Amino acid sequence: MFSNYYKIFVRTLSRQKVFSFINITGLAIGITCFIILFLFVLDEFGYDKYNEKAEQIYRVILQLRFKGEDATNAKTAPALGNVLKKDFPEVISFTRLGYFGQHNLRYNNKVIREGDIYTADSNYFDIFTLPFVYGDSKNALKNPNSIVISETAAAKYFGNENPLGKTFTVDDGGTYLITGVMKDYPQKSSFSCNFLLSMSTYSETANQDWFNLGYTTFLVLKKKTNISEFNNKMKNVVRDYVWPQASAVLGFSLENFNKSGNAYALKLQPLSSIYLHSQSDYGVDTNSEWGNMRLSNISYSYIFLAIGTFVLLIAVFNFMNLATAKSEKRAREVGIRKTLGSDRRNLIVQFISESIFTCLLSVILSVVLVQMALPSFNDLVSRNLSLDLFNNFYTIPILFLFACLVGFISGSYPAFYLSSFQSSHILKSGGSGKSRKSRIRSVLVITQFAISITLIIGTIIIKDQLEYIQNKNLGFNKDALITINNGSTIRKDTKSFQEEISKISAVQSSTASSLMFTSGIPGSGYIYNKMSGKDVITAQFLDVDFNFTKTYQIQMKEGRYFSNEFGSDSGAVVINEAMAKKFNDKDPVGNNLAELNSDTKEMVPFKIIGVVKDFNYESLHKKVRPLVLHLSPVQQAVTIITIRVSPKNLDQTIKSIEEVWHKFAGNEKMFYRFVDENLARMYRNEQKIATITTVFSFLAIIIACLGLFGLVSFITEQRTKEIGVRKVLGASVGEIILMVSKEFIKWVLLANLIAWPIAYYVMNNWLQNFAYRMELSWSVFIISGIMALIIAVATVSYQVAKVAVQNPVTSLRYE
Amino acid sequence: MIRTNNLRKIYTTEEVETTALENVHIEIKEGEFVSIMGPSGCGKSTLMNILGLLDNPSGGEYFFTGTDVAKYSERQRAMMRKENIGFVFQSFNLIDELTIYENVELPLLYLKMPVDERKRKVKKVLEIMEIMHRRNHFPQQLSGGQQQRVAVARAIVAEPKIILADEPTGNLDSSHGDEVMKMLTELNDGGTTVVMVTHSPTYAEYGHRVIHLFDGKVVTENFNSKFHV
Repeated sequence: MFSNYYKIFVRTLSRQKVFSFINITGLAIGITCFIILFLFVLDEFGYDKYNEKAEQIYRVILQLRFKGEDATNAKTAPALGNVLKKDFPEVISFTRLGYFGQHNLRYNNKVIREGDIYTADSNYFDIFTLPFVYGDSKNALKNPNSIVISETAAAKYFGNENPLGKTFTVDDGGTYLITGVMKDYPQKSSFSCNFLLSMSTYSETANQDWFNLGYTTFLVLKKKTNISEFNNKMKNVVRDYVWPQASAVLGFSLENFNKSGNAYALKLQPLSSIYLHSQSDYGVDTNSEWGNMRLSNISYSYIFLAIGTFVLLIAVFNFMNLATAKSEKRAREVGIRKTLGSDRRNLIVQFISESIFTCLLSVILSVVLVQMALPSFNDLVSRNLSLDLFNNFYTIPILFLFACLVGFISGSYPAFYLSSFQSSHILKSGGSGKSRKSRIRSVLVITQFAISITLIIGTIIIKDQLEYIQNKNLGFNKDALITINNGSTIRKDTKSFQEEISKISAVQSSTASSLMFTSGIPGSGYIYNKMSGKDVITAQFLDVDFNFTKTYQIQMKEGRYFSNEFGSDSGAVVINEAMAKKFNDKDPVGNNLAELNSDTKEMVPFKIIGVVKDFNYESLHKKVRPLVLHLSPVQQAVTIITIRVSPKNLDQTIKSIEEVWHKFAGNEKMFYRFVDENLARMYRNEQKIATITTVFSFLAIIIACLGLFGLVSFITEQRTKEIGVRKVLGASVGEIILMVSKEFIKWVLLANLIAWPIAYYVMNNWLQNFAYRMELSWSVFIISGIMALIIAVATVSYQVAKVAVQNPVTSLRYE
Repeated sequence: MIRTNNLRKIYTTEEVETTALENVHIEIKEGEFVSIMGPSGCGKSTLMNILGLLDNPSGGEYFFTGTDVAKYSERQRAMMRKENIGFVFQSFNLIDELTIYENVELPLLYLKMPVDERKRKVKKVLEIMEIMHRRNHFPQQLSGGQQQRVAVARAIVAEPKIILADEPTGNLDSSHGDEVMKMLTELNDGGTTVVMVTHSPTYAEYGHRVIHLFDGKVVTENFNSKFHV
């Protein structure tokens, strides 16, 4: 029997070429989109699983609520690990990761400034599965000044030599002994770096310091540890260890702190959740993560999965629509088969198997399409996705099952519809006896258009928002600003360097400051006009020089900026508006601000001399946070030099600056970036989404049109006689097009009504990710609706016009 | 073989109710050849559909080989059909995508007959109908007369007890029409019951008796003198 079905299937396929093409290609494109997006999402889920103990590894995060503001820190104090190990029997071991800034590493005549030297405890490799190429991972990080480098770093400095036992000369003297070469971190590791220095190099990391939130603490817990219980028990750590130190400085108790609605809580976060869930589920402030972290957001997985499913749905709906539309052609066969003794079940089996055959063809075609499209898609999203057909045992069976599933779903409605025809009707009249208007068919078309319109709206809004961000007034002028990222190479000579480059005519001004436009801008606790109290204000701080506001073109709001003319400015600070608002004081200029010095655990007073207007020094996902500007000497390890230049002859200007650079920095390369590029990098995720949604919305619309095209051609074919009669009676081509299009226009309008609220809800939610967001304007919705309408009407008119311009005699002879 | 009591069929659409058959009593014995005549719209085809178990009556009784099948489900009817009834239509109703051989084979597939037996039966019937040489052609490649021969072949391949022919000569010229009538007569001579709807008085004469329908009612039954004993 199946061979009989198969024969019919193949012969129908070859007889109705256009139809088959639309059906198979449309479905194949839909499946291709789905597979690609599915591969992408699948890839998102595999992070950090390479660790053998992945299931047992947790990161400790710090949830802080202060004056109604929540901030969750990915980093904790250096003393935490030891205490947890000592007091909690569930903890098998702990390891910490820290960072002490960039260093120049010298080997022979090679000097390279390395920004990713992290410090790790000696048992780091017991916990994280990073195989060694050379050396003994157990002991490599035991002694001070021991360093483990990655294979990549080894190749950079030593070529093919075994670097074990060799030493780097560091900055101005010290040495690091290379005790191990590890394999590079796997691509799917949320954290990666090329250098791991022994934690014991910095003796202060052993101190009982609860203020320096500069380390990630990882725990390995016994299996089946109750996490919420553990979290609860960590309250004791805050009470017994953190607070005694805090109250000594701040002068208020934990009870008082908690009573005012504040909270200071340590929580566990599974390692496997870091990559996707840090922001969405744990609320971890991205700015508190290491600069080397690779992070994503689970919501993007949902978005992409939704888009993939939608595109697939559109293709499946096409299939269902076309199958029912062409049912008139199959009606006679149904009738004959029924008279010959076929029951409904036989027919349902027949039509579903036909649809599974079609899906199998589509899946085969889509496998080819996926292979063709993946390289460009990988470029687009900077991934390394592949559809492994033969190396992965499951791929082919899964694809086969997928084809069966899609075939079953898309074939079931046509199967039930077709098999319901009454044979007595069909065989007499030649028609199905069913009304031409199928309600389900119109529901399917409306759904397709609703999805397409939602995608169009989404695409436009994402683009608009990104444009909005890029054109938003940032409070400073981002154009023609160059940042030298390895400015600290010439730390001692920064001033002379600045003086020297100021002689270049295109250089207008320059400033040295701590790092900006990145995650991890450090913060501190401040108290206004007092030396102690519980009304601590957390604020970020930047170290700047006299030219900072001039170079960035930041406006003053009150008071004055640092100036050479005032000798006392080293004891002064400038704050931003957001900070000033925290004080509840109309005129904070002239008042004192005390900062907690984390080394001495003492409060240090500063005088507020001015307030700058708010400017965005972090990503626009965040509102401008309170900020304190300190005059150098630069406290932070990372220093950048920012230069405002004339926008003309940029290449020449950069060349001249580089010449000066090499006078001070010798052979070391000058790493520079344009600030506007730097800012754009902060929206890479959004850019990625924007490109993906654009591409896939476009495909969705194409598939929907393909389906509409097929559907209309069947409908006009059925109405050929009607069209002929109407023409004989005097209808014009335009009137006929309008008559047929009317129904579709109605559908598209209805689709708009469905799509608008959905798109509004989804996009409004997405916009909440941004502290600065555009106003959702109705015009976007209306434009998208009109676009869909135009596309639909054009498709319909083209098909109808073909029939309508015919001589009516031809159309009448058709029957 | 066939007996109906008070058979009624009413078609209802949203606005109107049409009575297609009203109180039809007919009896057809095994081995009979019955012709049904009547003007367009008198209910001939409706009657054929019900007799052929393609449709259920709205009321009355219908005994097919002694069983009341009036309230049979679609599934039960399908079972009954494929084992007992062969159909021949005016418009042949062959499946265009299947070859002559495959068309004729179809009823046997639904009977789940083993391959060898199937082959043997299809071959035999194609030979009887003298279309063996055309077995690999598609219906569209054959003349109308040949197509109807295929349809007859398909109707008899499963050796049904009864053949229902709905204007089998309607689309054929007279020589092909005569040929089809000859075939039906031969089948009947072989013991198969034949019920045929026709517009042609000449062909109606091939039957043992002629039932006249008018407005859904049986008006007269003429026994053919040739066969009347």
